[in-house]
Amino acid sequence: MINLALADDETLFLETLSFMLDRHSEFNVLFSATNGQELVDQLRDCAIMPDVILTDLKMPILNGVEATKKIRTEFPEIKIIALSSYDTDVFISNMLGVGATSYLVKNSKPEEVYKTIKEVHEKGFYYNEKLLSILHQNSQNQNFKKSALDNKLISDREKEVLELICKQHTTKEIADQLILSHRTVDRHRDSLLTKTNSRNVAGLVAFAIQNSLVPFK
Amino acid sequence: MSVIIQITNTTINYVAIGLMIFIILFSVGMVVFFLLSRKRITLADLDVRDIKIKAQEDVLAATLLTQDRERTRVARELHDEISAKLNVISLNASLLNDKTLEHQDRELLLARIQTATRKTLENTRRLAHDLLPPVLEKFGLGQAITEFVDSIHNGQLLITYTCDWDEETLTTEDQLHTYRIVQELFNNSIKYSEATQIELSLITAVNRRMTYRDNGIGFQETGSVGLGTSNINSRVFILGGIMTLETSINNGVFYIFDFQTNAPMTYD
Repeated sequence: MINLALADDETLFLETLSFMLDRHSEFNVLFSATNGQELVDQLRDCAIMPDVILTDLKMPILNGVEATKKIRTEFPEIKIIALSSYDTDVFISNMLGVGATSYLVKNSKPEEVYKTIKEVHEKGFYYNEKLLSILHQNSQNQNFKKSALDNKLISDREKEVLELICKQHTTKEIADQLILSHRTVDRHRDSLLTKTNSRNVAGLVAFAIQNSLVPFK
Repeated sequence: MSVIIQITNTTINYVAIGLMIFIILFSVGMVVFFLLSRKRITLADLDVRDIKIKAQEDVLAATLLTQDRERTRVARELHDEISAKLNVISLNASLLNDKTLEHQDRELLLARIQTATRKTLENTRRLAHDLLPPVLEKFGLGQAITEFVDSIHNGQLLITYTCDWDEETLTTEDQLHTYRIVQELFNNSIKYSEATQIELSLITAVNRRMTYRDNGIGFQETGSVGLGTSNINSRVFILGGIMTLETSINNGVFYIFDFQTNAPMTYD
């Protein structure tokens, strides 16, 4: 069971989303909020923490971007999925930049919503093709400031692990494929997180793609 | 005798020379005076023109500012009201696909779609109406203001409105400018003035005259003008009208607008 919290200033949308997710046996909506501040306040008060939050970007009082920043600092273990009417690159880039683990346009099909939440819960992030191509575009953009990270800092083995992480493989799948132990894969991943200064896997993948550490297909 | 004549001749000569010098000096003086005064007139002309240009620039700046403010508002309405409701409709419609839905849940989703559709329709109608009231185009300024006044549902406010203008003699643009001035005046009164009475009359005498009075808190006229006021100013300017305003703290406002009948729309 994945515990969820929702935030959107359009109550009709919030009700529908809540109804839709509650009907699904794998999800449980703990609470919903109509603005970012309400969301943060409820998180501070609640007994059971949500695993995943779905939040709108444009909300009164505290918007989705600012709320995400706060939640990332206070509750780093909660995964955040951004919701928006628009799939403009700048919005998506910005949300991923402040620590969202995925991005959904509001007219996504219910299946896409279910899948995104599950992937985010299991693997820490979910980048669909649209998101991946935006990250890739950033790596091609002259104005995008690449990290000064020395490529040699990352071993070949780590690169292999990183590539598989970017392809959304689970630790078990990576271990099987590279014939390594579960623990070794974990160790490589932690080392990658430290080296790239990423706070979570979503950040690591974004970093890897934007800095062209892994080939983009 | 000859001496006297000689003297007289010399005197005449002196006088003649003096006269000539005087005439020359006078002519030079006249020419100089003429040149100087012409220069002064030109300078005065330039000043007048500068003031006119400055006024036109102000009008242009105010117009652009108003336009931007209006666009921001339209964009926000489109996003907040219309896109948001369309997302509700889209999500609910997707859910209806679910074959396992209970009858009552299906009813709930349908009701939500209907609510969102109704609200979207209302919002688009209002937005279109704000951009250009359909009544203005079809039935003219008088009816449009009547509709506008009726739409102000405020129990605390007594509005008196009369209009005898012949819209036939006004272009659609002029009617729209006048309508916007009226809207702006009412907005100011309702938002800031705490007025309980408003009187608006559009009368035709020598000129086409519009007067607007409220009994609100008034204001101290200062050099700086708000966006609403500069919006009014620029429309009065475009209409080639004259506006006077009497107001002071706690004494309401009294505006008089005079527009020449058949005033040509010129920017001169």
